[in-house]
Amino acid sequence: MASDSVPAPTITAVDGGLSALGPQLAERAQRRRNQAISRRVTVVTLRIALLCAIVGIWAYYSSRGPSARSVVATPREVGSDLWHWLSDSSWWSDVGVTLKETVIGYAIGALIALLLIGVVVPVAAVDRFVSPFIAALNALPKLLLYPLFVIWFGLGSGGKQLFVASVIFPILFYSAHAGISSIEPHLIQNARVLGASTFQLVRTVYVPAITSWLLVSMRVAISVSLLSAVIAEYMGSFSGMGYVIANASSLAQTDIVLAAVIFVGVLAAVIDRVLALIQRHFTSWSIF
Amino acid sequence: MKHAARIALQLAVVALALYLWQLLSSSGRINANTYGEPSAILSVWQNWWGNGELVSSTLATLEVVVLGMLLGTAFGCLAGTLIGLSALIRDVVEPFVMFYNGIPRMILLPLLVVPLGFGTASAITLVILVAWVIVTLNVAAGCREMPKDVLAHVRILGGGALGVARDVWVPSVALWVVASSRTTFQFAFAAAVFAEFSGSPEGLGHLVVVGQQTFQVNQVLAALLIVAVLGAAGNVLLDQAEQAIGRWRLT
Repeated sequence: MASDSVPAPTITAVDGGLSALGPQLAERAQRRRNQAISRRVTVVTLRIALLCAIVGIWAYYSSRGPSARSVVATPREVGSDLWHWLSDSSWWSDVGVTLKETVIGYAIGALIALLLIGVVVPVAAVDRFVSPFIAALNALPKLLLYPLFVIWFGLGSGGKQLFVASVIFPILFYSAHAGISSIEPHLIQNARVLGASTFQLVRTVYVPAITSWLLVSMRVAISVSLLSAVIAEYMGSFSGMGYVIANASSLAQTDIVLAAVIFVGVLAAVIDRVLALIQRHFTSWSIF
Repeated sequence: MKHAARIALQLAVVALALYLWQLLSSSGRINANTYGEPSAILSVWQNWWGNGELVSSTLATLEVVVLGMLLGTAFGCLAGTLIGLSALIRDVVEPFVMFYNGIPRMILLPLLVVPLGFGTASAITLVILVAWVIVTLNVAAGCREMPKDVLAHVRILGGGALGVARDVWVPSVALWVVASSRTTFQFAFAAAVFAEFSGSPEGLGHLVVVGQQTFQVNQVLAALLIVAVLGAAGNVLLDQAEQAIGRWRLT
């Protein structure tokens, strides 16, 4: 490199001059560390600058008049809404309702997917028979089923949970299916050679494989569940974050709508991070 | 079981299910007002075909989906190229894009309705807002993974910026856009239907809402089935497109 100022080492020592290279290598390593740190600082600074720019443009646009404010609300209003919600128990109970629908809906969807996997996968003919129906269910925009769920189950929490289950069931089914298909055949053959019964085979080979795939897909499925629950509540319900959004929207309280949308986004990000940590803990053993 | 025999059996199962449904409904074993009746659904379709509702609603929904997808894809390609080509831009912008991906984007509709009203304009804008980020993420990945050896060859042969754009960037981006188009379509379609559910005065979603509010489950089912067919058709079309373009894939 042109900026090298360390003189080229002369080979006079017994170790072939490697010890003379020491300082040169150390200097290069230090330079790389400095570059990495300065890059990191640049990125973080630019991110903060971008955030400030967005909030600034937002504040400027909302100061242009009441009609602009009715579209985007002011940053100050949204900020104070979020701040007040942190200590507002009625908001947290709404959050709890949505989270309950998310989790129970996920559990129902997972249960049905696993039951179906247990029935479908062992016999390949059944698998081939059923797959077009499941593919058709997957291709349908699941949002469409919502009016049917309202007619059949009403606007209560139970209907929302079933709706969430119906949205994630195809995702989980395909994920578990892929998990089973990805099991290395020689693992199954080895287990059989060692005299494993079907039950032992299921317990020691299939279940760990499905579990690791389900954990990987859980992150995607939970975030889809959360969004489906919020959207279902928005389309008609009596409680939950989506209900708050729908209510605020009908009263033209744009600041509450935006604050709730941001809150859901942050909540989804936090849940995703927590699940990533759990996933890393539980799948650290897997070699595939 | 042979292929043709299996398809015949699947069709038979569907036919049997429809027959049982009709039987249970018309005999009153299950409540026809809750679960609908195939014969009543058929008559709803006939009615809609007769007064032109079917064609106009379908066209309205299709217009929203197609226009929204095209515009969203255009914006997505732009943003995705910027993100994909510059590592700095990607690092800076990544948390913002991921956050935007994590919010329920369809809920942005109430914000659009205030300036744009309920109708095609706000529906198309919602579809753009929903679909744009999916295309961005895929195009960014595509730009990052432009085949380096083809890039080198184009440069060696004197391609210059225009040559690189034409021979490396366009095929890369096109491949990724088409490969992700099924996902984009699903999201765009769901957003279009959502916009229509929420108060648009036309389109298939509007027919569903009218049926729901007048407790006519047959109307709801009739509109839902048309939407389902549209969705499946779109899926199949894009699948064919993906396979056609996939032949040109280098990796």
